[in-house]
Amino acid sequence: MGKKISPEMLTDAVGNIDDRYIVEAHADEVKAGRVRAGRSGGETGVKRVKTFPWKPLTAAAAVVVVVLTGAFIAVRFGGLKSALRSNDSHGNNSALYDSESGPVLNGKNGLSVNPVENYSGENDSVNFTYAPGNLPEPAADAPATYIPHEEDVPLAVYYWDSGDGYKYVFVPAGDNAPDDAPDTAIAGDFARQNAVTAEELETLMSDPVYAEFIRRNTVGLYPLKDFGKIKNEEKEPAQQTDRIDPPENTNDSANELSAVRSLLGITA
Amino acid sequence: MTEQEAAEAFSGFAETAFVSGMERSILQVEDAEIIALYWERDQKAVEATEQKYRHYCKKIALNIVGCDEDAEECVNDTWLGAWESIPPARPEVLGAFLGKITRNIALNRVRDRDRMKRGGGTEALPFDELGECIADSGSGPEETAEAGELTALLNRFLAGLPEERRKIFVCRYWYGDSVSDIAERFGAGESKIKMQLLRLRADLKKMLEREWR
Repeated sequence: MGKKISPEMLTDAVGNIDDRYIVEAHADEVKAGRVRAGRSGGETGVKRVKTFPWKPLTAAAAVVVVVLTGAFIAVRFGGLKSALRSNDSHGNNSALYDSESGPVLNGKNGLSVNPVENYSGENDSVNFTYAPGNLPEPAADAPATYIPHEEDVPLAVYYWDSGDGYKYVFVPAGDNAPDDAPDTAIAGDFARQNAVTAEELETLMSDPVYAEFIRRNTVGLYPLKDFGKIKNEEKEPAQQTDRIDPPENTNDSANELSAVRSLLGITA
Repeated sequence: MTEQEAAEAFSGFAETAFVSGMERSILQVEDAEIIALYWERDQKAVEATEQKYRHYCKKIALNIVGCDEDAEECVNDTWLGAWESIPPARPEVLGAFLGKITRNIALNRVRDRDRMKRGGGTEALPFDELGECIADSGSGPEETAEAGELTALLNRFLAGLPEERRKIFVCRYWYGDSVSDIAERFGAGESKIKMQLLRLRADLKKMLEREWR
């Protein structure tokens, strides 16, 4: 015999949870001496107190030092522009200057020089701008998806035919997959909520930092029918809920998959 | 965290948050004193409550109703609710007690607003995501779950969670905080928080299925 629960009942029941959990959710803010603003920002009157921003300040100072050093070299050795231009989109070698778009001191993740601004995917000498765990937040207009990056683990990209074109989803792959890798119980929901279309994938890859990260870590593109095998090989197929059948293999679909493979830098 | 620690932490939270523009004397009024004023039916209780907890309650209301004007009304209704509830109530943690009143008032307001729209669609709230946790009832006779039982189950669910996951759950489904706010607060990416919430809902669903069948 089941007991009937409505969404309203559950919401109301959450409202009556033990006081200690309600307080706990804000207690650390007390210790840190900062309180978050509400949805309407300052209007709520909640005072936002932040700890002193040493990290951005350090990064900003580093940028200033780099720029001043560059300027000094430029003045000393014959012109700022020529000194900074060394590997732009026309094959020159510069992290600081592109002959078409100008200086590329961008604001990603605070003030930082982004040496992959003009990364073509072919130049191994380019330094990476991220370390595992600190991949910057995606741009505001980036498609909403989940890209595991807490550890530098290989990524698998799964795809399926949604009925309205292919959808793609990133998951950690292999033995090094972190604990938060999705399991089969939520595979369907996870895939649907985090899936991107080929077009959105292209948008995502237009961010050079993400493109570099994804190309570096993606190990393959697989139909979603194998999704459950990654983490749950011991489970019976019937337990792998929400499975989605692989797509029909048409010329169009083969072309799209080939393009996506190329976009992701998958050679195998 | 004991009830006593919770009360102290909450008191500190309120003071940290609302120190600007507030008279020092009001800040020093302890929750116990405010509650005593309620029991004496002294209207200064409402004044002290408002000065100490107005912004906290408004944040909760605003998260739910999403409109400044409505949030103000919810907060004002909260003071009336508190005046009518104390006595007989003697809350151990005044802030949480007031927050619960505000949350209920704000939710009722949103529900009324949705009903009046007559098919015009409802407003999406963080709490709506909890609908995913409700298992199919299956066949056979059903009995309606009692609210108290459900709350007890939720308390057990929360007690079994690691602290950070519990806080994320409460921030999202009690306070109605946005994913971006939670992500900022916990120093994580939004995608990670969404993933954690997804897994929390999946875990709660499993527990509901296991214990309510």
